[in-house]
Amino acid sequence: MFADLDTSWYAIAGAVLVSSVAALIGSFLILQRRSLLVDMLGHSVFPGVIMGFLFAGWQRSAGWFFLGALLAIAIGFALFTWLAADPKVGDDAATAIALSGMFAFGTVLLSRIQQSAMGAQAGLNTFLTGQAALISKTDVLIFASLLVVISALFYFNRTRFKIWAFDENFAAVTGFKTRKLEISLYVVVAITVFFAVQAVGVVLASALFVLAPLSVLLWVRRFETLLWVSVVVSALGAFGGARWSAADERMPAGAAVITLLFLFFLVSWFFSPAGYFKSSRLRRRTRKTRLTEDLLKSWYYFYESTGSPEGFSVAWIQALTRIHLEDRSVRPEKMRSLLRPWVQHIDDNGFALSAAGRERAEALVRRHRLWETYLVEKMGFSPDHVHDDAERVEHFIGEDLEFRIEAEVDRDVDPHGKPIPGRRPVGGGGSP
Amino acid sequence: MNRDYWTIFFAAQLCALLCSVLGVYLNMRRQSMLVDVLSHSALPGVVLAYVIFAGYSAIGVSLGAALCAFVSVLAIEKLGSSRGRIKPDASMAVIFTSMFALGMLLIAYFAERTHIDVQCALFGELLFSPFWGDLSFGGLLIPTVLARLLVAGVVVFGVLRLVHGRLLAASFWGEGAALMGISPRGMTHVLAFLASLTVMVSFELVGVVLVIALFSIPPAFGRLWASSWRGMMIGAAVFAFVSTALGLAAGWWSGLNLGGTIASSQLLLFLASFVVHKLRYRLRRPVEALHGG
Repeated sequence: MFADLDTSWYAIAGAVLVSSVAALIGSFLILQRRSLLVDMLGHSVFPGVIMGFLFAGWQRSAGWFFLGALLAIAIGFALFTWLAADPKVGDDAATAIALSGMFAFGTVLLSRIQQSAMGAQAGLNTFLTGQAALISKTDVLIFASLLVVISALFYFNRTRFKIWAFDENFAAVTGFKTRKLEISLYVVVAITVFFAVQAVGVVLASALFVLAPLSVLLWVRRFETLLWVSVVVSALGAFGGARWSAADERMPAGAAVITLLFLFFLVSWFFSPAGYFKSSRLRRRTRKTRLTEDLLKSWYYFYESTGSPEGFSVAWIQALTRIHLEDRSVRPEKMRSLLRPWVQHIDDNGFALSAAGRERAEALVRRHRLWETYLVEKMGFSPDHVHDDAERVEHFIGEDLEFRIEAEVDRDVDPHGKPIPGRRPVGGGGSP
Repeated sequence: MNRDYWTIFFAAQLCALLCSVLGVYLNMRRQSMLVDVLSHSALPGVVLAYVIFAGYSAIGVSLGAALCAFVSVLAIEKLGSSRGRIKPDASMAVIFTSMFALGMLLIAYFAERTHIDVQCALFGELLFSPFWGDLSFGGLLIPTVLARLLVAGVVVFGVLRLVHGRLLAASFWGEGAALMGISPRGMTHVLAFLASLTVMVSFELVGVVLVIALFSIPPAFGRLWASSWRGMMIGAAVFAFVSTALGLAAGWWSGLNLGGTIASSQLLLFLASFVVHKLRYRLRRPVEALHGG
């Protein structure tokens, strides 16, 4: 069927298939926060490739190559898992140790080969930059079947994979066995890493796994959508990159593919709904509200300790910011402009809150103390652990939630002995 | 042993010492993979330096590499956060691979003007470092490689001595540090700067990948056995010294790549100590249960 096709079409088809598989698996690894795993596995391939050379008697023998590489990946992965399980080593150090250690063995082996007069230059170059042009018809068939197998694996286990990807602990607690899934996934990962390294080289192989899914993650919200859209994006990128490199012989295919995918990532990062511009605008808005509410609260604390609603100034707030405000870099002018909607008058000597401002300040402190009381009384927290949580939650509690919490708690002072302002008697009744 | 051997010995030991000391900070901050990022994302800077300076120039290469490494640290910080959609590990993976791709693109288009020795960058050339020549300091001849490492060492230890306390505060108690007027981000940048400086002077000796071993393995050993910062530092430094000496000896005896044998000896020693560490816990646990019951 493919007999009349030009060999460069095999390269393109191969690149597209490998990228699709990589994107499918990569979506998964990203959600599990293991994006750097592929980098580690890719580097582990190195000693395997050299071993393959040693056994194959200096000829490019796909079988020995493949076996050696798979074995090396398995050893690297086992080393990583063994070390990472110890809390004193941890994920990051285990990755670094396994990666550099396996590469060190490869280096030693390589210098041994070079000593005995036979070069392994071709293998080394393949390892570094990949040889997409060498992809043959057999390779394309292997990649295609790999894609089918992995898609089937994901399709028939989609619920399990989803639970596992998003919440490993939840999966463990509900008695859901991830061991088989883990083994089958990592066997597939190992095979794909091997082919990806062959196609685009060791460093760019890990880009192939993460770039497309990460860009897509910024646009979509559903797991299934993430999977198929990243496959499409990755395949398109690979197609474009392979064509680019076929048209311009200076350009290595791997670098071309990754450059295209990276451009797409940049576009997503800047312009997608979860991207830089949108999210920073949202962040600024929430930050402003929180800051205003914190300022109002500090007025209330002043009022509470002095008994006087007047005479609280921006200078006072500045002195208090170090204690009460999350954001310590606010200038006085900014504070004034934030407070303006809530005050009657404001000048250098101080400001007086309007009725609405006082009500708002009181409501915030009330919600803060109600939440603290609720955590201690009903949830069994100790009193010195509830403040930070309340600092966050007070900004999000609405009126109906406030009423419900109020109905739950019995006391009218918070765990630190401060009165809860505007506390209504238990059992409803609106009198102040 | 002649002078060349001593040059190699001291170069390797200085390199290992610098890496292991900085590695302790990175290990405790759970950022061991930062070195991987720094060393890979330096590539476009190296290539650009070759193009601009029309060939190899030690200062140009170091500057370009350090600049690129630093830019990628900033980019990683901007992209990833543990609360956002892009997690820190993903942002690292994106940035260093993309920088590397950019470097390969530059190599592809300026190939005729760059003669980068890939082998050297990958595996280092510790063995040939004595041939870089000597620098004269008022009549005193010091091998160039040692002079460079010494300068880097003075900078690293000097800066660490100045900022050590602030760096610790910023690493483990960001809020407290901010209250005391220390900028946690600024401290992160100082550490990244020191690490990239060290990577720049080391990678020509042991290669871009094996420098990760020098950074990550000795501190991991220190962490297994020590329970204080000081202990971890000393443990890491001693481990680095012993394993480097063993690795050098093995390399000289067998004639294999020196960077490779050093990193391998570090890995093997670490694994041995890890097994002992595991056994220690296995032996201790029943005794503790006895006391507890």
